[in-house]
Amino acid sequence: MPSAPLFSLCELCSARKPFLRRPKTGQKICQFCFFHVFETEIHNTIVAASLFYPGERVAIGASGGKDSTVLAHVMKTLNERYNYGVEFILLSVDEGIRGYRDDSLETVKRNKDQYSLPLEIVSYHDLYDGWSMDNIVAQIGKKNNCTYCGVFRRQALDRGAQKLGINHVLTGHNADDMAETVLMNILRGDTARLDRCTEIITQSAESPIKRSKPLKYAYEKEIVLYAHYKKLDYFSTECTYSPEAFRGTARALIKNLETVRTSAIIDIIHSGETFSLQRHGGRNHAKKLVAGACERCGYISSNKLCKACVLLDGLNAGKAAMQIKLEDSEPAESTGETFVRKQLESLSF
Amino acid sequence: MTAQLCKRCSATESVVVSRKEPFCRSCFERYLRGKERKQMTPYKVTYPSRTSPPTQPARLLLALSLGSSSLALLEMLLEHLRDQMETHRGATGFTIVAVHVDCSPILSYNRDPKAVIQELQKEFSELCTFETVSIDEFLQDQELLGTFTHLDLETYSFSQCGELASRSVKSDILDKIRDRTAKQDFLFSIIHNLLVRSARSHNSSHILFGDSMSRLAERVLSLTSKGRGAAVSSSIADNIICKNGIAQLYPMREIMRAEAEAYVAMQDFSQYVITPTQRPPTILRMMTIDDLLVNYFTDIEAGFPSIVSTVVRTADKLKDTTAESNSVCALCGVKCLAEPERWLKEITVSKPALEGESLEPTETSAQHSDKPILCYGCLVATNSSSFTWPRSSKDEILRQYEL
Repeated sequence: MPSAPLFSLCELCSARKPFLRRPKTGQKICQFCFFHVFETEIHNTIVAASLFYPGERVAIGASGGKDSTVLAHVMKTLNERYNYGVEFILLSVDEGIRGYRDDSLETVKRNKDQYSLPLEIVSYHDLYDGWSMDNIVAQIGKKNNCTYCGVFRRQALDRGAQKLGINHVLTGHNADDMAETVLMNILRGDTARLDRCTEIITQSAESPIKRSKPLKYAYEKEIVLYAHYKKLDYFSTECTYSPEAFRGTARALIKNLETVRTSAIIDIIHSGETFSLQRHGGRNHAKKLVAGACERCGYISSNKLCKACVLLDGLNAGKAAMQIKLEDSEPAESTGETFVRKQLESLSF
Repeated sequence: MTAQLCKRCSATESVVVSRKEPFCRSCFERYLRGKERKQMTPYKVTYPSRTSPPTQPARLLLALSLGSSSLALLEMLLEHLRDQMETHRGATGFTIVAVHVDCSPILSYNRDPKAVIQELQKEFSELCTFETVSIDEFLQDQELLGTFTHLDLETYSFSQCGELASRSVKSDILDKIRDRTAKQDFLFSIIHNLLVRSARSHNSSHILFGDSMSRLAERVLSLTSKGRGAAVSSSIADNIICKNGIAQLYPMREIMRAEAEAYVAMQDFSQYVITPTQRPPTILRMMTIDDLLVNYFTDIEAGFPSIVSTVVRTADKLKDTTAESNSVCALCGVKCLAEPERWLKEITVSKPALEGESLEPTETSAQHSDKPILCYGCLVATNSSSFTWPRSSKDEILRQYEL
């Protein structure tokens, strides 16, 4: 390995001592330059996509994790530095996962004071007939629970935003997440999403609220470094309900690709941005969704019932079935452990 | 334990299990050849009507790398030709020229490729012609180098290469590139260009590539990972005109790598397979992106067996977004979208934080003045280093074209 020269200086400013090796480029740079390039890149992304207009009220989806904490911090900084004239509000969703969300929400509450931004919390429990994620997992098990959480969270964020009278929510998706999505869509053959998954602003017939991802080109590692050196207050525990195994393999692949070539993550995003499907306006066009309202909850939906209400029906039906089963069943001794023991005792070998 | 019976004929013991199905030898051969013949349907023997002029069978160029997959394709094509001759009284729907680009000046193999080609020629001369092209011919061909030269010749610094005859791809191109993945990319590009040149000289309309479905899936992900996503569609689709009016065809696109290997072993073609003596690296940092993806698919196929075909089918649905573009990459020669460098600069700022600096991004107007156009993939591969693709010197061009 070549030894570093004794007099090494920051590769960007050539004035200060290098402080870290930049994950995105491998350049040895000083802390000051790191903050500068990290923030400027996000600013460039915002300007290139014309994300905001002056006077806009925008919600920042805040989970208390590193991505959303950095997002809130950088948005506040850039808003002041470049005079975007945007009013930011923190918006959190309480999924009701004990040992994870309750702690991270405490972080968001501290962020609220640190950045002096208003905070709004919407909870699954209040929105969905008392169903929190802990209750859902207790009923359906640990498999596929991300489906419920995904649908519910999307709607919860929208409802929170609507409550605040806001049409634009920012999410903390970073470059690694984007690259992972591109690869996942290829590996799964999800052509419907493949050519649109890298768009910075997503707007669909199924959601009244515009979403955007200002951190889409920011490396996860740089977000961690930024949060660490800026001494930001964030919560770093992963969700206790682990994600599906297949996504894990895509994530591992991205990390390996990044080791082989540091630029791999943005290279994948670049590829994703050039993807375009062959049949545009053809068969897909005919199936274009017509936005209506859910008959039950009034949320925007192209079907009679919105996805969340369909899932809730399933959950409630399951709950009822379970109760009936319990009432019908024999006295306590014939269920559970006692029952199994009795069955075993009656066996002869 | 007794061996399972072949599921297709239910008469013979199976010798191979493929896609969870046990096959006997003859059913397996039939199964794979059927897949090859499906792709080769346009090359049936045709009988023109009396009034129409007589037609010649299509002349196809087979890119023969001497790996399992391309040798399996060679065997299948030879078998296909034998069948056609038998059924149609000596007539065939196509003829083949098998061309091997000899990379032995760069990589060492367990066998001398030239000797293998000679053996093949001796064995199958009545059905097919074989040819070896040295990789270094790339640097000796003015016209070929010319295709890589940007139109506006005056503005470029010409190559510092040595004399024409002493040029080698290894020392003049590959050794100048640091990045392993980029090295592999450029080698691939050179081989591809030599094949296109051969196809032109043999008047072939199509080049047949022996890439298996597994290999195509790896290509899709590797192109994506290298930022060459715009080229995915044109790289793996059939009948795409690659260059100079020559189209590409992948007859093995429905056959898995393991199947091709089993097939080659069955046909006693294993003797012709050449393998590099240097094993692929096992340390992550030493790997190329392609090495990594080969490993990824090998690992994941066990848990998710349909993934390879899913990836290839997904890529088939992509549109070639570069088709209408006028820009051509000065390094790899593919059509590219405009201004990848600007995109990269916006999101990878490399300006220092200076006190009292203007915080508004400054437009750099000199960006597209004297630099050749590079596609995003090549831009990343060369990482804005001083690497220049060797070009014909001005004198050489003058000597050739000035009257």
